[in-house]
Amino acid sequence: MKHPVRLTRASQMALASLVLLVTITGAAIALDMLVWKGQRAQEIRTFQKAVGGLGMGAIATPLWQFINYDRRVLSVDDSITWPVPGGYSYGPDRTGAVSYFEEKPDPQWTLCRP
Amino acid sequence: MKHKNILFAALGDLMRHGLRSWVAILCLAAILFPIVTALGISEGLRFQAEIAVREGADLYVSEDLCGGSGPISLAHLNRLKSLAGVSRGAARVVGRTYFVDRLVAVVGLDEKSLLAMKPLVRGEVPRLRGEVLVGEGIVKAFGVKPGPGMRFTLSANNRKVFVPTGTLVPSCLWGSEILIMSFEDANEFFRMKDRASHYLVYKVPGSSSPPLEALEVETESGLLRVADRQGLERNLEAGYSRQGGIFVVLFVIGAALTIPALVVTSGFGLREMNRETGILKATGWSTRDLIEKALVQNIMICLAAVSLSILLSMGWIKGLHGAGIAQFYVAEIGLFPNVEVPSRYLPSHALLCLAFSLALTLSGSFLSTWKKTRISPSELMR
Repeated sequence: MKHPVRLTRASQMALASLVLLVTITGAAIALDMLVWKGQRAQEIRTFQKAVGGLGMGAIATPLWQFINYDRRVLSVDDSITWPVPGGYSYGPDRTGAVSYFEEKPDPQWTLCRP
Repeated sequence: MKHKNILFAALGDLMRHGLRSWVAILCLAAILFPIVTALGISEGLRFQAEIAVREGADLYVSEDLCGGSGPISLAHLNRLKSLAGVSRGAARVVGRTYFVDRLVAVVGLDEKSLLAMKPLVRGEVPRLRGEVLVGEGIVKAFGVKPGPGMRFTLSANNRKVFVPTGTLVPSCLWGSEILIMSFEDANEFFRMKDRASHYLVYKVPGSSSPPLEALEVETESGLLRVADRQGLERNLEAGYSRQGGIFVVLFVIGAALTIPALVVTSGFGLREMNRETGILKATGWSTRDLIEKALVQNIMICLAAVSLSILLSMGWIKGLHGAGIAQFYVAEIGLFPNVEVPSRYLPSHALLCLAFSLALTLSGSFLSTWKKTRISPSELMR
């Protein structure tokens, strides 16, 4: 360990490439964050302010039920009331993989025991 | 000097076993790619959805319809507007329809809201009855060119003619597959005379008296359903929870793919590596030096894999609109989306992936390196 290890030209190139790759990735992430905070956020605000808030989930159109598209439009998940073998909802809305909106329980009945 | 030597020696090792290094990097990048993509899209959509909740109304009021939300009578509107703490109220219609064979959202807004769209419209905002704004997704899919000559008719009522006056610049996911028209047109479209999907109630800024209690009094007569912003914010957080099912699936796939990566990074079956370790030990390298070299090697492999996966994900989602894979994350966007898939990459995503990949690779290589340090150099060099 006392003698210095020397890098070959290929190793120097590899190290430089790694540093460059990491730098490019960092710059790309920083640029992406700036884009989202700037003009894009303003455009989203303008749209959402005009329509009064539309869209919440990872689905482009309101397929089957609205709850995954926007639970403000319909807060109940009517697909779970359908008779599906096995008891699970196969609503195509459920294919949006990065969000999942469930119906919020709203206790409307009070149980009175004798 | 010592650490620099270890770095150079680790790099030299990676270069000598170029194929092994590339297999490890590509294996890890393949594991990380779906995770980075899911995180990016989830963050992009969450960002848009948070704005949608923040910039929307304070309360959404509809009528109860057999336990669900139903259209609300316009007769309630004036009473709701006059409640204490309410600054503004607006009626809105939201529904869905098939535009040719494509499912789209239909939104009916009042004149003031339509005019507020102006900065986002290529063309003109609807001013007259029968005029509509068309989302970018519909424009691209059907080649709709807003302006004179282009018109739509309803199959159920071909006397009703809609004329596209402008294209809505896609600002967010939910603004692409959409038709926006006047409240009255949407009302007629869905045949719900004197009714709206819901009322949007805006509170006076800084109002300490939320009108929620007053609305609850209204429910005695009208049986209204109310959704408030705080509840929506809580729901949004839960809806985008990262413990959702797909991440479990992705991590299972990831774990399965790590097996070859672990085998490769641990140097399983590489007699040449054993000889190299034996030589290093014979020339005075301690156990700590050897483990540090393994750590440096793994950091370099993981840095390359994380960077490649992030750049590939960014290029695929932003450059190619997620062709072939976007449908896996965002439902109904199509195999080849013609609108931008929201994706937002954060430094925390890179750090999470780095930690995940380091945990995977180090668990393999640390053990094998430590085992080698227990063997005598002559045995290793044999």
